[in-house]
Amino acid sequence: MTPGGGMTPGGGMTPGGGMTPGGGMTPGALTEGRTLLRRLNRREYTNTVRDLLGATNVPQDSLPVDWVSKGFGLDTSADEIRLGPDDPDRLHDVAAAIVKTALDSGGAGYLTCTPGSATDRATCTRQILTGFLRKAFRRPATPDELTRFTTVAAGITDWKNGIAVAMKIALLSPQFLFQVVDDSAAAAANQAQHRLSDYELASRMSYGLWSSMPDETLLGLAERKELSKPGVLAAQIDRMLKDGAKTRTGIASALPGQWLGYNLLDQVEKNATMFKQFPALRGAMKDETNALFENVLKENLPVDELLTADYSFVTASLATFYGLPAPGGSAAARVALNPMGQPQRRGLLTHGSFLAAHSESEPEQIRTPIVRGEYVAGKLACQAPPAPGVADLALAEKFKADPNLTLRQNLDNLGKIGGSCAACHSLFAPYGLALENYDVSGKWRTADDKNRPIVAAGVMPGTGKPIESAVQLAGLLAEDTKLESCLAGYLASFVLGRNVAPKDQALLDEIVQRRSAMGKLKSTELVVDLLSSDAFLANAIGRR
Amino acid sequence: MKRSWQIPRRTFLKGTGVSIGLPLLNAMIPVKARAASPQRMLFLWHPNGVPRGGPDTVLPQLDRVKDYMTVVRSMTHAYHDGPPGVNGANHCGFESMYTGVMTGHTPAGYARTIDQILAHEAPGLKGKMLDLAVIPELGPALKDSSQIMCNALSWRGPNDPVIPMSSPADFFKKIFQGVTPGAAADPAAEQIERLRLTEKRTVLAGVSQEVKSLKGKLGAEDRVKLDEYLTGVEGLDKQVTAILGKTQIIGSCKAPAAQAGNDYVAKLEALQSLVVKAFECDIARVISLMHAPAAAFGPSFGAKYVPGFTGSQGWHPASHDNDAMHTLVVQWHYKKVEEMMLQMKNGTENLLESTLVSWGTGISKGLSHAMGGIHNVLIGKGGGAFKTGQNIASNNAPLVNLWATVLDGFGLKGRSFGKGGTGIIPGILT
Repeated sequence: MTPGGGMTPGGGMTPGGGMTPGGGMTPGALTEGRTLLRRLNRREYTNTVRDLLGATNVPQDSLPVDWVSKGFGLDTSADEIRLGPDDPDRLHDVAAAIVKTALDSGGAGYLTCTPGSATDRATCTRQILTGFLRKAFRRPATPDELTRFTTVAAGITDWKNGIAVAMKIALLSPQFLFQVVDDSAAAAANQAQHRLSDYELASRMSYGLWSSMPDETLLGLAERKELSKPGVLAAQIDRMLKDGAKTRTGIASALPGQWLGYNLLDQVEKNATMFKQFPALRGAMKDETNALFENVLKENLPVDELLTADYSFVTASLATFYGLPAPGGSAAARVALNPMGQPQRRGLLTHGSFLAAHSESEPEQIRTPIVRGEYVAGKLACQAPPAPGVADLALAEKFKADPNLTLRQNLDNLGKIGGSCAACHSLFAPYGLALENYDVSGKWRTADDKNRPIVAAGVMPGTGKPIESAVQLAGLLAEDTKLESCLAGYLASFVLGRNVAPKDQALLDEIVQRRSAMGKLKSTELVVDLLSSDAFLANAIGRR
Repeated sequence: MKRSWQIPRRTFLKGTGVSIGLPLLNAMIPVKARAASPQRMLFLWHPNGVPRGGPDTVLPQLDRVKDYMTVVRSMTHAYHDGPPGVNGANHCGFESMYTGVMTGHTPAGYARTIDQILAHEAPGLKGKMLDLAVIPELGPALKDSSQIMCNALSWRGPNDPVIPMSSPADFFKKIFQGVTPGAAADPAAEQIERLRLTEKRTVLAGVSQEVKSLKGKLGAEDRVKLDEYLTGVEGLDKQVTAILGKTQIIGSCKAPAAQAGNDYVAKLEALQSLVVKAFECDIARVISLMHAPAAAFGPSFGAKYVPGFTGSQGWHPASHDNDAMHTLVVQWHYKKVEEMMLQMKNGTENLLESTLVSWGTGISKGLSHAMGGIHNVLIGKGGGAFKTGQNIASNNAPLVNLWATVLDGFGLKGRSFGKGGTGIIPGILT
């Protein structure tokens, strides 16, 4: 818990990796509780030009890279995602192509006049750019800005080309490329924090939940200065979460994938001869977990339903892979999980996405239960095991797994090599072993490669409760409020665009405790409480 | 020393008003005057170390250019990036390889890398396009370590990596803008390109103004980010202005067609050719090319493209567990370097005469991530400053001594570099 370095989520294996205080890309310590000037990441840029100008097929490789390394490692991390020296050129060409396409195909609704007898060129240009800049900058342009943009446009011989040049400047302006928060007045008044304007709030909400620009409803409420009113704010959040199409390209696909580490599933491969079905299932697996997340948000369901859902959203081929009756049609559909008999799956812990993302490519590798166990401990139980020490790693270097023993036996032996290994393994190994009923591609199995029966039983770290199976473990994890705390941390970091500061953590703990005391914490409540908090509605003033 | 024969290419082109390829221009420079004056430096890097049998298991792959090689053997890498004995901490082995300092595995711990020092300080290298770093495929996130540090070889200084380009199309665009491929002296195309670039300048001027008008409103932390952007915008404006200042924009150097190809091998080959072309057209004088990200985790490395590779684990796990497969992969990459060196040798000009290439890896053996017994292959005569066709036993010289030697060869004798250096390695310089 270090200022600038932020709270450490999940934890990890690599000593010296990433969590160094002040290791960020911005020189000097960052002001606690402050979101830096935040560039639109690739997803946000792509969604924004879609909503602004109807752009499709934006070349992702030409957009700035979203490097993230520290803390929660989310691609919304404002102090990390930057612009390199080559990015202006690439962004210029992307913007030029987007504007050309939009103007060639009718102007995306912005060409509300043409210069002629009724309207002179200057008036028409001003009218068009007023409308466009309000959307592009997510607030009305200032009189100075309008003068600058109309002057540039007037300097181009061809009228329409003048509009195009002004639009390109707008798409390359920091007012478009960044989520600008103007805290100059609050800083001048020596205040500790800047209360977001209604327009700034609209952007923070829409980028937080939709990864895109505010829609007309949000802009209208901001214009009337109504958005920050508590009742209005809560109603808007509810509306935004119910918009599945928007959350699907926003928080519902971006957050769970990064939280649970399956966003990189496309790069995960398995032994090609043994797991032939896997490559074709990657997309359906990711969509399955995203869809569960979207559903929990949309229906305002208890957060722990992520772990206990007795239904899922699967394509016919994924259903078959799971041994479920296949739904008709080619799209994914909601199906009940094992309506009869002993359930094999419940919730995301048993989704192919999570299981395959945290497994080795070859079967029966000791690293599979270790990595899976670490993920469950760190990301779902919110109790990351400490990283192994230098001495422990040296011992582990010498350890060789015995192919004649089961994974469980080998893992036990690894724990016995000395040092602090045994004590530490008990913090995550039981989780990994409880998932052994799923092979490295996520397929259900009851015996290992050598046909020895899988034993999933163990003792739950922390509570000491007996674990019987993965499904029962999901229930045990859901009973606790650790999942809520874990998710709240990632959610806060995602929507705030920064790591969770100690003060934020206290807020999150308060939300989880207060809401849980009244019953199960529901998704909308969590989002509303977070987005109504000081952390979200204000930004600490940084060094001037 | 003033060298009156060094006519800037642009001045020359302006004076004659004709399109002319650089090789011809180079031919105009007296060969004697160029001797002992290295003109280009290329850094090539691969991850995972060499096979357990040492460098001799892979060096024969470079046989066809061995006359141009100096193999510097058994150096030690005193400043790697993690506590001694900890595997995993030094996966990004080039962190200290090219900085000569212990980075502590944080961006703030970096120093300016050797390639950047050369590009900014070496007399024969200055004034050309900077920050050219390429990698055919970026690595997936290494758990809890930094993506930047495992993917960026070249650093301008602490917290300031050169983000490498992985798309051949983008790299092509960067180096060849203004030398659009096409027939020389096509007035219509010339006019269109001029209009496009003029308009681009208008846009960039507008953008600069927008950045500046926002800057005053922001705090110091945010201004850093805006400044980065402004630097990029202004740099681009300079480039465009310079191109517009030319008498002729199109066809002044025969650029290859924009490179397509999406698989790893196609991208590596495309980037290799473009690097060679960038040298030939004298657009850049220092470039770094990483064959793969540090560690090269993930099965897409090795398994996919190396004939005979069995198993699906990928290069990095193989470097630990499967030396036979690791050997195959490293040999494959050595062969690719040989191909590239032959391209440099057999082009319109024998670039191996004027260039120095460094091909190496940050650890010696992948198995143990060992920091002793490191070798580096120097290829090319560097304008006559570097000896070739030899093996040098460095007797455990610190790796930083190699870079001190290179700096010396490039006219920066005595320029300090990194920590722990004890001088230059004898026998390398002429």
